Amino acid sequence: MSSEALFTTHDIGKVYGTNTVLQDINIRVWPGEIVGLIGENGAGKSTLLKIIAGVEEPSMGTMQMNGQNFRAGSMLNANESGIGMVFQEQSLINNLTVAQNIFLGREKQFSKGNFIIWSKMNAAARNVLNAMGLEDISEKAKVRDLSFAMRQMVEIAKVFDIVSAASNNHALILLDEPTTVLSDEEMVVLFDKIRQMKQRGNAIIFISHRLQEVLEITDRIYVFKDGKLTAEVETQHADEAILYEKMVGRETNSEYFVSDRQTVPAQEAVLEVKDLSMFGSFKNVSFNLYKGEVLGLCGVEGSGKEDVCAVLCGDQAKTHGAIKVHQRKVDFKSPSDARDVGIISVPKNRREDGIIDILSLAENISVANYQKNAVYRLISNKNQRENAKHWVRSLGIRCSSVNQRIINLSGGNAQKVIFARVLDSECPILVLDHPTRGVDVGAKGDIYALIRSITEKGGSVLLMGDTLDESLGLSSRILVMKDGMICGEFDCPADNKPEQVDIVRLML
Amino acid sequence: MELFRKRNRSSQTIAEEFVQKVENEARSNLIRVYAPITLLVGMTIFFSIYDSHFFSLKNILNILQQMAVPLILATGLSFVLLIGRIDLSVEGVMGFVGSFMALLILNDRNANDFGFWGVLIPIAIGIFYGLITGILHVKLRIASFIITFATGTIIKGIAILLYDSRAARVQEQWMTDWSMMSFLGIPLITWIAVAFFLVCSIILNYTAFGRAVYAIGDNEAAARASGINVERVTVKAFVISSTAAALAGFVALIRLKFGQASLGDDQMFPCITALVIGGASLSGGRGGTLQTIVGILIYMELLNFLTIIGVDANYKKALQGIIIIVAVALTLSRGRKTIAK
Amino acid sequence: MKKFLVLMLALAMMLSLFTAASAQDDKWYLGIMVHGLENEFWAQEANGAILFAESKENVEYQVMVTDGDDNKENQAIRDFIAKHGQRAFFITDVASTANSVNFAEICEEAGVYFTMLWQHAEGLEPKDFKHFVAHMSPDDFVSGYNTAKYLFDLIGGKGKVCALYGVQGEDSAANRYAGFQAALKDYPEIEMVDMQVASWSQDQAMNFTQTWLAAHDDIAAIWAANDTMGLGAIEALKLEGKNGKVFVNGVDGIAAAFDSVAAGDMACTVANNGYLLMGYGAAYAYEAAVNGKTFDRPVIKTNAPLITAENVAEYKAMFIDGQPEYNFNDLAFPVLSDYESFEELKNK
Repeated sequence: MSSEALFTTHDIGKVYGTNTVLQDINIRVWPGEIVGLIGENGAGKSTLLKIIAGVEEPSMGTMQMNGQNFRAGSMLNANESGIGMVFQEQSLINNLTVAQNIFLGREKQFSKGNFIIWSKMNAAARNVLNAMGLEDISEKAKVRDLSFAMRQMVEIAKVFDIVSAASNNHALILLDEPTTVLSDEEMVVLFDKIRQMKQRGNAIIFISHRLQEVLEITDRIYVFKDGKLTAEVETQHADEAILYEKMVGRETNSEYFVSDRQTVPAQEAVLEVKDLSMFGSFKNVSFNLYKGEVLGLCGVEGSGKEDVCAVLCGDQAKTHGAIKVHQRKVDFKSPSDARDVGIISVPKNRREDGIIDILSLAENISVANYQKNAVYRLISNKNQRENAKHWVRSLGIRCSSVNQRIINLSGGNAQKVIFARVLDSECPILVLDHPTRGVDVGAKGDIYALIRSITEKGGSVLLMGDTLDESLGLSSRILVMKDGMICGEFDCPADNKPEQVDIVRLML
Repeated sequence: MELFRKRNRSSQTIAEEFVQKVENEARSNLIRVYAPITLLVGMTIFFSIYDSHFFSLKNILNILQQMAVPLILATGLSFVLLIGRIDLSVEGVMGFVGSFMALLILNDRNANDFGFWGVLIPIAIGIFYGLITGILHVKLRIASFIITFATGTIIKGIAILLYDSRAARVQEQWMTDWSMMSFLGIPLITWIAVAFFLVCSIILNYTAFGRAVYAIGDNEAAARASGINVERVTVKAFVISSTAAALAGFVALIRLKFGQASLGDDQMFPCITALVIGGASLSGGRGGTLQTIVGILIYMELLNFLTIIGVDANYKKALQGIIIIVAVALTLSRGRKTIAK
Repeated sequence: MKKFLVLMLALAMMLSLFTAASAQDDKWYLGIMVHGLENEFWAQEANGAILFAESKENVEYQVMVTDGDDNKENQAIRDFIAKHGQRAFFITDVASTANSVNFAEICEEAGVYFTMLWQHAEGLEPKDFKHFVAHMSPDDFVSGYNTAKYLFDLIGGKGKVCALYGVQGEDSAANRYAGFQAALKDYPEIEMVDMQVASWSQDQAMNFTQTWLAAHDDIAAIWAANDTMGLGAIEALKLEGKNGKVFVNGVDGIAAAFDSVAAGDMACTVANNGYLLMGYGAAYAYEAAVNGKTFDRPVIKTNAPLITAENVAEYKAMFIDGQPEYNFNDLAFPVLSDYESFEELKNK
């Protein structure tokens, strides 16, 4: 290992509004090294990679590449400095061919006059693919026609080529969960390629939820928790148990999650799910949700839990299985149908799916149930405002008036408005998808208390927590999902919560 | 290797399902790509059997002659559509170029006789106008729908002012000759259209610009990140569209020899409809050479056939509308959550 | 609800402010409402009204373009009335049939005299309004009938005929076609092959004609509901060298149609004569407003001459190259002479 670090960060931090997602990150990567980043969802790993790759600007701190101060600004600049990133969400252009994608924006080298010599480009692409061991992917195939795994490999090949073409020095490649959609054979190839890159003195930063993979491929592992770097381990000294322990770390604080108000659910099942399946996403999911219960659904991203929620709130169609609400079989095709049978959701992406930014706070509350505030089917602004004032008072929404545009509220207050909308519709079953994402600590406490009062009044909640702590702290029961199936169930009475490590072990 | 086997056992079914799902999508995609051309072939065979006049040489030549203007316009518009924009100014530019040209060459309104330059100058202005439209769209960040509607109205207004309420009739002999001329039996204006179509096809398929057009339409953010100058490509797309409109104005003038600003009226929407039938997407990223020509042929054949068999004019428009909806519904892919806007 | 009331109140106040500001002088103000100026017929109309206005010393005029937009027209006349009060009078080629009612009611309320051309709503009659002086238009039925009859005579009363229709749902398109059909009844040996809706478009008319020529070998005449479509049909005929052999007409009398008649490509057209319509229309409104005259028969069908190879030179000099000279005091001049006989024909 050379004595000079290839890449270092100094006190990198990232703040969105009042929400700190990354704080004081100091990492160091040596040439010829593979570094793993692990941590729960939302621990800040992906954000750090995006900052390094130039997709996002750091709020504070500095970085150095090859001993020089480095500030990406854009992905192109990052590429020129020898840094390339393979994205979790693929950034290939579906309607172009593999070769065109690999050389997108770099066509000049194959041009004669203004025209591209396709044969030349295709030949070069062939070489790039062959070098990656991707003999079975045609350079002339449209990306749209490839499987996701193949697309992932093409993307990796593209990034490898961009970086090695742009930089004479050693390169740093960032891989954000590259293995999620790969088959085992493809993964062997990928790991092989990663090792080859390493042998040539390049460095790789690798994020994965699969600890076994991390242990297999990396030299060193950084552990993230709540936006902070909490541990650094040499891989040769680590095993899964050590990593689990480092990842979960924090003691569950029963006061924080208002555990004294945790209800004991009634025996009456309000929602019964039997053999629910969605083709290609999850399979044979069965569970009951009882009256007054908070049921936590845990699993890494891609475990299928998102789609279970999406099906339950009518956003996606199930391919198989039955759903019963209050012992009655229901079948719905849209969120509005779901609401009619008594299921309503707080969506994960508040900005995209939750708030309607051009409307006022009051209208955002009543948008799901206009008829409630109507007089002779015409909306009464007065009723709507009174209704909104009621919710502002009871949920403690901080705003200048109920006519304020929702876009001007802070994340926490906007989220409370969504809760007000959901509660206003008086549905007995709430699906909370990351209810505290992007919400500051104070508002989080308010939302936890709110969830407690919902169950005290007999409502039932299906929860996907923003963190494992949260799911564990709030839920009466937890279901663990992995690879599209439920693989475990834990009772979580207020006084005897299970160990996080046990849950994480099932998830990964 | 132990880890791989373990993972395999627990996730086999879902992973397999996932692979199959992707394959299914690819298959339905394939059907979509070939649906328009299948429709075209099927239609042509059906029409020919139904009425022998349809497949007569004379009628085929008619269709070829009539498709000159729509083919040129659609070719230009396809670039703008591919990047997810729309150009409503083509009718105005077409009307301007045609009517202004009629005033510059030998005509019955004034003593002008600029000949060659009389043709070139209006076309050059039309092309330049597309440059301005594109720059306004990119720099002011006004939606293309709005900005092109505005610029289209402006240039049509200018055209009307220029001929001062009485349109010019072309008296140039060569233009009359051109409208009659044919090569290998196919009308000259069709050759002009085909030439333009071929040049544009080469630009679309064999230049970095052409690839960038697809990239922007599919994923603008990714295209930008790949170092594509999105603004520049967008402006160029509008220039190609206005070039098409200008050329269409010229060809329409050859055909009709009457320089009204209304020359371009009712030309754009049929072209856009034809493009969509051919498989182009209004939100960008899908379409291209094949889709353009297939769409135009389907549209022109349909119109022609309904006239040949003498469908009652009162039912014809409704019938036309229904057929278009069916054709588009067959060839379009639909997302579940949002209705295409 | 409260907001809405406040808004209405504010609007009402603004309106009353405008109305209060009426001018005080001895001039009369003619508002000339046309669809636009890009069409030479509309320009003829405006120029006819200007001819009239310039023939009177105490009349000033303003040309207002409506683009066929009801709101734009109503706003324009309200503004004009607000400015000139009851010294205003209007000649209008009203923006749409539907808006003729609004137009009449606004003027009636303001006490302003007006003459309307072309479209008017069913049941909207000058006799029901004190200030609705007259309604004038050439008879579209008569134009359709005369042109069709001329074509049928040219082909010797027998042969195959096709027709090009205007825009579906427009009165003038329907009435012209009704005239064509009435003439068809008089000629039993004429075979009607097809009718197509070409929406007044030269391009579409050319396409239809091409298709007809491919599907039928022996078309003798093509009847077109206006000049532009006639010119389109002629371009299609030219491609096959059949111009002047297959007879085509036009209606409206635009310059290009005059030229085409003169060149022998077009058999005939009808000159709608916008000069006469708006010139005399304004004259009628003026007589009512200034001299308090009323008219016994206020629904006037105007004289629209059939232009053929024989008379085209004469009319071209009058309508296209120059402007006609009219005695605007002779109010009987524009009236169609054999009006009654056509009324009988229509009712048949």
